[in-house]
Amino acid sequence: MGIWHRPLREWMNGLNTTDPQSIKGKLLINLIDKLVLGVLAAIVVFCVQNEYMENKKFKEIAFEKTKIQTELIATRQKELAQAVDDFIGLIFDKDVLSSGQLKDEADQDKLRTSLKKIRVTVFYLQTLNEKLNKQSQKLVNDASAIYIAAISGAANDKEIEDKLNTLQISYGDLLEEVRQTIRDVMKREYEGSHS
Amino acid sequence: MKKISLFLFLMGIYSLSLAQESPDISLTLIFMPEKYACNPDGYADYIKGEASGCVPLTINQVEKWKRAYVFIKTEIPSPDSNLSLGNRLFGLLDAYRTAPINTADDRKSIVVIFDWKSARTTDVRLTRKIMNTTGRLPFPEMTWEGRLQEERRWIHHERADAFLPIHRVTWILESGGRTWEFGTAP
Repeated sequence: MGIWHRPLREWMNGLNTTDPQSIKGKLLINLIDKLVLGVLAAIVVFCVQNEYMENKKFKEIAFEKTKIQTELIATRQKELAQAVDDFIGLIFDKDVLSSGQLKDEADQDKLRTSLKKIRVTVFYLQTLNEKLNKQSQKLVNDASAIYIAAISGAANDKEIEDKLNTLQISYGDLLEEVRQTIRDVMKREYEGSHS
Repeated sequence: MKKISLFLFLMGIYSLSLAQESPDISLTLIFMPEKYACNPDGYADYIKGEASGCVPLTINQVEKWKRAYVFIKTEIPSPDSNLSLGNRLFGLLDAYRTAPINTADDRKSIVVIFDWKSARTTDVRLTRKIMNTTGRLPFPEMTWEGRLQEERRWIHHERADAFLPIHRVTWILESGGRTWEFGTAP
Protein backbone atom coordinates (compact mmCIF):
# COMPACT_ATOMS: atom_id res chain seq x y z
CA MET A 1 0.00 0.00 0.00
CA GLY A 2 1.34 3.40 -0.91
CA ILE A 3 2.44 5.87 1.69
CA TRP A 4 1.15 8.92 -0.14
CA HIS A 5 -2.41 8.40 1.05
CA ARG A 6 -1.66 7.65 4.70
CA PRO A 7 -4.20 10.25 5.90
CA LEU A 8 -6.80 8.43 3.84
CA ARG A 9 -5.82 5.09 5.42
CA GLU A 10 -6.02 6.62 8.84
CA TRP A 11 -9.44 7.91 7.97
CA MET A 12 -10.40 4.44 6.80
CA ASN A 13 -9.01 2.96 10.04
CA GLY A 14 -11.37 5.26 11.82
CA LEU A 15 -14.15 3.23 10.29
CA ASN A 16 -15.39 0.12 12.10
CA THR A 17 -12.73 -2.54 11.22
CA THR A 18 -14.59 -5.40 12.96
CA ASP A 19 -17.46 -4.70 10.62
CA PRO A 20 -17.66 -6.69 7.38
CA GLN A 21 -17.71 -3.24 5.84
CA SER A 22 -14.00 -3.04 6.66
CA ILE A 23 -13.27 -5.36 3.71
CA LYS A 24 -14.99 -2.88 1.56
CA GLY A 25 -12.79 -0.25 3.12
CA LYS A 26 -9.64 -2.21 2.24
CA LEU A 27 -10.93 -2.72 -1.26
CA LEU A 28 -11.58 0.97 -1.50
CA ILE A 29 -8.06 1.75 -0.34
CA ASN A 30 -6.67 -0.72 -2.85
CA LEU A 31 -8.73 0.83 -5.60
CA ILE A 32 -7.58 4.32 -4.71
CA ASP A 33 -3.95 3.06 -4.67
CA LYS A 34 -4.33 1.71 -8.19
CA LEU A 35 -6.06 4.84 -9.38
CA VAL A 36 -3.23 7.04 -8.11
CA LEU A 37 -0.64 4.75 -9.67
CA GLY A 38 -2.59 4.74 -12.91
CA VAL A 39 -2.79 8.53 -13.02
CA LEU A 40 0.93 8.80 -12.32
CA ALA A 41 1.73 6.27 -15.05
CA ALA A 42 -0.51 8.19 -17.47
CA ILE A 43 1.32 11.44 -16.68
CA VAL A 44 4.70 9.78 -17.29
CA VAL A 45 3.49 8.25 -20.57
CA PHE A 46 2.06 11.60 -21.65
CA CYS A 47 5.35 13.39 -20.90
CA VAL A 48 7.43 10.79 -22.74
CA GLN A 49 5.08 10.83 -25.71
CA ASN A 50 5.12 14.61 -25.80
CA GLU A 51 8.91 14.64 -25.75
CA TYR A 52 9.02 12.04 -28.51
CA MET A 53 6.61 14.01 -30.70
CA GLU A 54 8.57 17.20 -30.20
CA ASN A 55 11.79 15.45 -31.06
CA LYS A 56 10.22 13.89 -34.12
CA LYS A 57 8.90 17.24 -35.27
CA PHE A 58 12.30 18.85 -34.75
CA LYS A 59 13.97 16.11 -36.78
CA GLU A 60 11.43 16.52 -39.55
CA ILE A 61 12.15 20.24 -39.74
CA ALA A 62 15.91 19.62 -39.71
CA PHE A 63 15.55 17.03 -42.45
CA GLU A 64 13.42 19.41 -44.50
CA LYS A 65 16.09 22.07 -44.15
CA THR A 66 18.79 19.62 -45.21
CA LYS A 67 16.70 18.61 -48.17
CA ILE A 68 16.30 22.23 -49.21
CA GLN A 69 20.03 22.87 -48.83
CA THR A 70 21.05 19.85 -50.88
CA GLU A 71 18.43 20.65 -53.51
CA LEU A 72 19.72 24.21 -53.78
CA ILE A 73 23.29 22.99 -54.16
CA ALA A 74 22.16 20.57 -56.85
CA THR A 75 20.26 23.33 -58.66
CA ARG A 76 23.27 25.65 -58.59
CA GLN A 77 25.43 22.79 -59.80
CA LYS A 78 23.17 22.41 -62.85
CA GLU A 79 23.32 26.15 -63.51
CA LEU A 80 27.08 26.07 -63.23
CA ALA A 81 27.23 23.21 -65.72
CA GLN A 82 25.17 25.31 -68.15
CA ALA A 83 27.39 28.37 -67.69
CA VAL A 84 30.59 26.35 -68.17
CA ASP A 85 28.99 24.73 -71.24
CA ASP A 86 28.27 28.14 -72.77
CA PHE A 87 31.71 29.43 -71.90
CA ILE A 88 33.69 26.54 -73.34
CA GLY A 89 31.23 26.17 -76.22
CA LEU A 90 32.05 29.68 -77.38
CA ILE A 91 35.78 28.98 -77.30
CA PHE A 92 35.35 25.85 -79.44
CA ASP A 93 32.59 27.30 -81.58
CA LYS A 94 34.51 30.31 -82.72
CA ASP A 95 37.67 28.35 -83.22
CA VAL A 96 39.63 30.38 -80.74
CA LEU A 97 41.88 27.38 -80.39
CA SER A 98 43.35 27.85 -83.84
CA SER A 99 43.27 31.63 -84.15
CA GLY A 100 44.22 32.38 -80.54
CA GLN A 101 41.68 35.18 -80.23
CA LEU A 102 37.95 35.81 -80.10
CA LYS A 103 37.74 38.82 -82.38
CA ASP A 104 34.05 39.53 -82.81
CA GLU A 105 32.84 42.03 -80.22
CA ALA A 106 29.40 40.38 -79.91
CA ASP A 107 31.12 37.07 -79.15
CA GLN A 108 33.38 38.78 -76.65
CA ASP A 109 30.28 40.12 -74.90
CA LYS A 110 28.79 36.61 -74.86
CA LEU A 111 31.98 35.18 -73.36
CA ARG A 112 31.98 37.93 -70.75
CA THR A 113 28.36 37.16 -69.89
CA SER A 114 29.20 33.45 -69.52
CA LEU A 115 32.12 34.25 -67.26
CA LYS A 116 29.84 36.48 -65.19
CA LYS A 117 27.31 33.66 -64.96
CA ILE A 118 30.02 31.30 -63.70
CA ARG A 119 31.04 33.85 -61.08
CA VAL A 120 27.46 34.44 -59.94
CA THR A 121 26.72 30.72 -59.64
CA VAL A 122 29.93 30.14 -57.74
CA PHE A 123 28.97 32.99 -55.42
CA TYR A 124 25.72 31.20 -54.56
CA LEU A 125 27.44 27.83 -54.15
CA GLN A 126 29.89 29.40 -51.73
CA THR A 127 27.00 30.94 -49.81
CA LEU A 128 25.31 27.55 -49.50
CA ASN A 129 28.34 25.70 -48.23
CA GLU A 130 31.69 27.18 -47.34
CA LYS A 131 33.45 23.89 -48.04
CA LEU A 132 33.00 24.70 -51.73
CA ASN A 133 34.86 28.04 -51.50
CA LYS A 134 38.35 26.99 -52.46
CA GLN A 135 37.56 24.72 -55.38
CA SER A 136 34.89 26.97 -56.85
CA GLN A 137 37.16 30.01 -56.65
CA LYS A 138 39.80 28.06 -58.54
CA LEU A 139 37.27 27.39 -61.29
CA VAL A 140 36.53 31.13 -61.55
CA ASN A 141 40.24 31.93 -61.65
CA ASP A 142 40.90 29.43 -64.41
CA ALA A 143 37.90 30.63 -66.44
CA SER A 144 39.12 34.21 -66.04
CA ALA A 145 42.54 33.20 -67.38
CA ILE A 146 40.91 31.73 -70.52
CA TYR A 147 38.77 34.84 -70.94
CA ILE A 148 41.85 37.07 -70.82
CA ALA A 149 43.77 34.85 -73.21
CA ALA A 150 40.86 34.73 -75.67
CA ILE A 151 40.06 38.45 -75.60
CA SER A 152 43.36 40.19 -75.05
CA GLY A 153 44.86 38.62 -78.12
CA ALA A 154 48.27 37.37 -79.17
CA ALA A 155 47.72 34.13 -77.30
CA ASN A 156 48.73 30.99 -79.12
CA ASP A 157 46.69 27.84 -79.51
CA LYS A 158 48.92 25.94 -77.05
CA GLU A 159 48.34 28.56 -74.37
CA ILE A 160 44.55 28.40 -74.74
CA GLU A 161 44.63 24.61 -74.84
CA ASP A 162 46.70 24.44 -71.64
CA LYS A 163 44.31 26.78 -69.90
CA LEU A 164 41.33 24.73 -71.10
CA ASN A 165 42.91 21.60 -69.63
CA THR A 166 43.41 23.39 -66.35
CA LEU A 167 39.76 24.49 -66.39
CA GLN A 168 38.63 20.96 -67.13
CA ILE A 169 40.51 19.65 -64.08
CA SER A 170 39.14 22.44 -61.85
CA TYR A 171 35.60 21.76 -63.02
CA GLY A 172 35.93 18.01 -62.41
CA ASP A 173 37.35 18.64 -58.94
CA LEU A 174 34.53 21.04 -58.12
CA LEU A 175 31.88 18.54 -59.23
CA GLU A 176 33.43 15.92 -56.96
CA GLU A 177 33.52 18.44 -54.13
CA VAL A 178 29.81 19.25 -54.67
CA ARG A 179 28.86 15.58 -54.63
CA GLN A 180 30.91 14.98 -51.50
CA THR A 181 29.32 18.01 -49.81
CA ILE A 182 25.81 16.75 -50.59
CA ARG A 183 26.74 13.30 -49.27
CA ASP A 184 28.21 14.81 -46.09
CA VAL A 185 25.14 16.96 -45.43
CA MET A 186 22.77 14.00 -45.94
CA LYS A 187 24.94 11.66 -43.87
CA ARG A 188 25.14 14.12 -41.00
CA GLU A 189 21.39 14.50 -41.02
CA TYR A 190 20.77 10.75 -41.26
CA GLU A 191 23.07 10.06 -38.33
CA GLY A 192 21.40 12.84 -36.38
CA SER A 193 17.94 11.40 -36.96
CA HIS A 194 18.98 7.87 -35.91
CA SER A 195 20.89 8.71 -32.76
CA MET B 1 26.54 98.62 -85.03
CA LYS B 2 26.93 98.44 -81.31
CA LYS B 3 24.77 95.32 -81.26
CA ILE B 4 26.95 93.61 -83.87
CA SER B 5 30.17 94.36 -82.00
CA LEU B 6 28.59 93.12 -78.75
CA PHE B 7 27.55 89.92 -80.55
CA LEU B 8 31.06 89.45 -81.95
CA PHE B 9 32.54 90.10 -78.52
CA LEU B 10 30.29 87.47 -76.94
CA MET B 11 31.07 84.99 -79.72
CA GLY B 12 34.78 85.57 -79.10
CA ILE B 13 34.40 84.84 -75.38
CA TYR B 14 32.33 81.73 -76.16
CA SER B 15 34.89 80.33 -78.63
CA LEU B 16 37.68 81.10 -76.16
CA SER B 17 35.87 79.16 -73.44
CA LEU B 18 35.33 76.27 -75.87
CA ALA B 19 39.04 76.25 -76.68
CA GLN B 20 39.87 76.14 -72.99
CA GLU B 21 37.46 73.28 -72.39
CA SER B 22 38.79 71.10 -75.20
CA PRO B 23 41.29 68.60 -73.83
CA ASP B 24 44.96 69.03 -74.63
CA ILE B 25 46.01 65.43 -74.38
CA SER B 26 44.65 62.23 -75.80
CA LEU B 27 45.36 58.89 -74.17
CA THR B 28 45.77 55.45 -75.66
CA LEU B 29 45.70 52.51 -73.25
CA ILE B 30 46.85 49.09 -74.45
CA PHE B 31 46.31 45.93 -72.39
CA MET B 32 49.20 43.61 -73.17
CA PRO B 33 51.63 41.04 -71.75
CA GLU B 34 54.02 42.51 -69.23
CA LYS B 35 56.99 40.76 -70.81
CA TYR B 36 56.53 42.87 -73.98
CA ALA B 37 55.74 46.15 -72.23
CA CYS B 38 58.82 45.68 -70.08
CA ASN B 39 61.14 43.78 -72.33
CA PRO B 40 62.75 41.28 -71.80
CA ASP B 41 61.74 39.87 -68.40
CA GLY B 42 58.91 42.00 -67.05
CA TYR B 43 59.08 44.09 -63.92
CA ALA B 44 61.94 43.26 -61.54
CA ASP B 45 59.66 42.88 -58.55
CA TYR B 46 55.99 42.74 -59.39
CA ILE B 47 54.71 42.91 -55.83
CA LYS B 48 56.97 45.68 -54.58
CA GLY B 49 56.89 47.45 -57.92
CA GLU B 50 60.60 48.17 -57.77
CA ALA B 51 62.38 49.82 -60.68
CA SER B 52 63.01 47.51 -63.60
CA GLY B 53 65.52 47.34 -66.37
CA CYS B 54 62.90 47.60 -69.10
CA VAL B 55 64.05 48.42 -72.61
CA PRO B 56 62.49 51.82 -73.53
CA LEU B 57 59.56 51.50 -75.90
CA THR B 58 59.29 53.33 -79.20
CA ILE B 59 56.13 54.83 -80.66
CA ASN B 60 56.36 52.65 -83.78
CA GLN B 61 56.55 49.53 -81.68
CA VAL B 62 53.58 50.53 -79.54
CA GLU B 63 51.48 51.57 -82.55
CA LYS B 64 51.97 48.08 -84.01
CA TRP B 65 50.79 46.47 -80.80
CA LYS B 66 47.47 48.22 -81.14
CA ARG B 67 46.70 45.77 -83.94
CA ALA B 68 47.32 42.73 -81.74
CA TYR B 69 45.98 43.78 -78.36
CA VAL B 70 42.91 45.39 -76.84
CA PHE B 71 43.21 49.15 -76.61
CA ILE B 72 41.11 52.25 -76.05
CA LYS B 73 41.72 55.78 -77.21
CA THR B 74 40.23 58.64 -75.28
CA GLU B 75 40.74 62.24 -74.24
CA ILE B 76 42.29 63.03 -70.89
CA PRO B 77 39.32 63.31 -68.51
CA SER B 78 38.16 66.75 -67.50
CA PRO B 79 38.59 67.70 -63.82
CA ASP B 80 36.35 65.77 -61.43
CA SER B 81 35.67 63.02 -63.96
CA ASN B 82 37.26 59.66 -64.54
CA LEU B 83 38.71 57.82 -67.47
CA SER B 84 36.03 55.50 -68.81
CA LEU B 85 37.54 52.08 -69.59
CA GLY B 86 34.62 50.75 -71.65
CA ASN B 87 33.15 47.25 -71.56
CA ARG B 88 35.98 45.46 -73.28
CA LEU B 89 38.92 46.79 -71.29
CA PHE B 90 36.98 46.80 -68.04
CA GLY B 91 35.91 43.18 -68.64
CA LEU B 92 39.53 42.20 -69.16
CA LEU B 93 40.74 44.00 -66.05
CA ASP B 94 37.89 42.56 -64.03
CA ALA B 95 38.79 39.03 -65.13
CA TYR B 96 42.47 39.79 -64.55
CA ARG B 97 41.60 40.51 -60.92
CA THR B 98 40.67 36.87 -60.37
CA ALA B 99 42.92 35.16 -62.90
CA PRO B 100 46.01 33.38 -61.60
CA ILE B 101 49.13 35.40 -62.38
CA ASN B 102 51.82 33.16 -61.04
CA THR B 103 54.11 33.41 -63.99
CA ALA B 104 55.49 36.37 -65.93
CA ASP B 105 53.68 35.03 -69.01
CA ASP B 106 50.31 35.56 -67.37
CA ARG B 107 51.00 39.04 -66.04
CA LYS B 108 49.70 42.03 -67.98
CA SER B 109 50.63 45.68 -68.27
CA ILE B 110 48.85 48.70 -69.52
CA VAL B 111 50.88 50.84 -71.86
CA VAL B 112 49.68 54.44 -71.99
CA ILE B 113 50.54 56.89 -74.75
CA PHE B 114 50.05 60.51 -73.67
CA ASP B 115 49.64 62.46 -76.90
CA TRP B 116 49.75 66.29 -76.81
CA LYS B 117 48.31 68.36 -79.63
CA SER B 118 51.67 69.79 -80.59
CA ALA B 119 55.35 68.99 -80.14
CA ARG B 120 57.06 70.53 -77.11
CA THR B 121 60.14 70.41 -74.96
CA THR B 122 59.23 69.90 -71.35
CA ASP B 123 59.51 67.63 -68.35
CA VAL B 124 56.73 65.14 -67.65
CA ARG B 125 55.94 63.70 -64.27
CA LEU B 126 53.30 61.09 -63.51
CA THR B 127 52.32 60.10 -59.96
CA ARG B 128 50.22 57.08 -59.00
CA LYS B 129 48.34 57.91 -55.85
CA ILE B 130 46.03 55.48 -54.09
CA MET B 131 43.01 57.11 -52.51
CA ASN B 132 41.84 53.97 -50.74
CA THR B 133 43.60 54.46 -47.44
CA THR B 134 41.78 51.74 -45.53
CA GLY B 135 44.02 48.78 -44.86
CA ARG B 136 47.12 47.78 -46.78
CA LEU B 137 47.79 49.31 -50.17
CA PRO B 138 47.43 46.75 -52.96
CA PHE B 139 50.58 48.15 -54.58
CA PRO B 140 52.91 51.06 -53.83
CA GLU B 141 52.43 54.67 -54.81
CA MET B 142 54.94 55.59 -57.49
CA THR B 143 56.25 58.50 -59.53
CA TRP B 144 57.64 58.25 -63.04
CA GLU B 145 59.53 61.07 -64.73
CA GLY B 146 60.44 61.73 -68.33
CA ARG B 147 61.12 64.49 -70.83
CA LEU B 148 59.72 65.48 -74.19
CA GLN B 149 62.30 66.82 -76.67
CA GLU B 150 60.30 68.56 -79.37
CA GLU B 151 57.96 65.60 -79.18
CA ARG B 152 54.22 65.12 -78.79
CA ARG B 153 54.03 61.67 -77.24
CA TRP B 154 55.21 60.18 -73.99
CA ILE B 155 54.96 56.45 -73.32
CA HIS B 156 54.29 55.08 -69.88
CA HIS B 157 53.56 51.55 -68.68
CA GLU B 158 52.68 49.92 -65.38
CA ARG B 159 50.95 46.87 -63.91
CA ALA B 160 47.49 46.45 -65.44
CA ASP B 161 45.53 45.91 -62.25
CA ALA B 162 46.32 49.46 -61.08
CA PHE B 163 43.70 50.59 -63.59
CA LEU B 164 40.90 48.63 -61.94
CA PRO B 165 38.47 51.23 -60.54
CA ILE B 166 38.14 49.19 -57.33
CA HIS B 167 41.66 50.26 -56.28
CA ARG B 168 40.69 53.94 -56.48
CA VAL B 169 43.97 55.04 -58.00
CA THR B 170 44.42 58.65 -59.05
CA TRP B 171 47.05 59.57 -61.60
CA ILE B 172 48.50 63.05 -61.44
CA LEU B 173 50.15 64.21 -64.63
CA GLU B 174 52.33 67.31 -64.41
CA SER B 175 53.84 68.97 -67.45
CA GLY B 176 54.65 72.53 -68.56
CA GLY B 177 53.29 74.01 -65.34
CA ARG B 178 49.92 72.28 -65.69
CA THR B 179 48.43 69.42 -63.75
CA TRP B 180 45.80 66.86 -64.70
CA GLU B 181 44.26 64.42 -62.25
CA PHE B 182 42.14 61.43 -63.15
CA GLY B 183 41.02 58.02 -61.97
CA THR B 184 39.31 55.20 -63.85
CA ALA B 185 35.68 54.11 -64.16
CA PRO B 186 34.03 51.10 -65.85
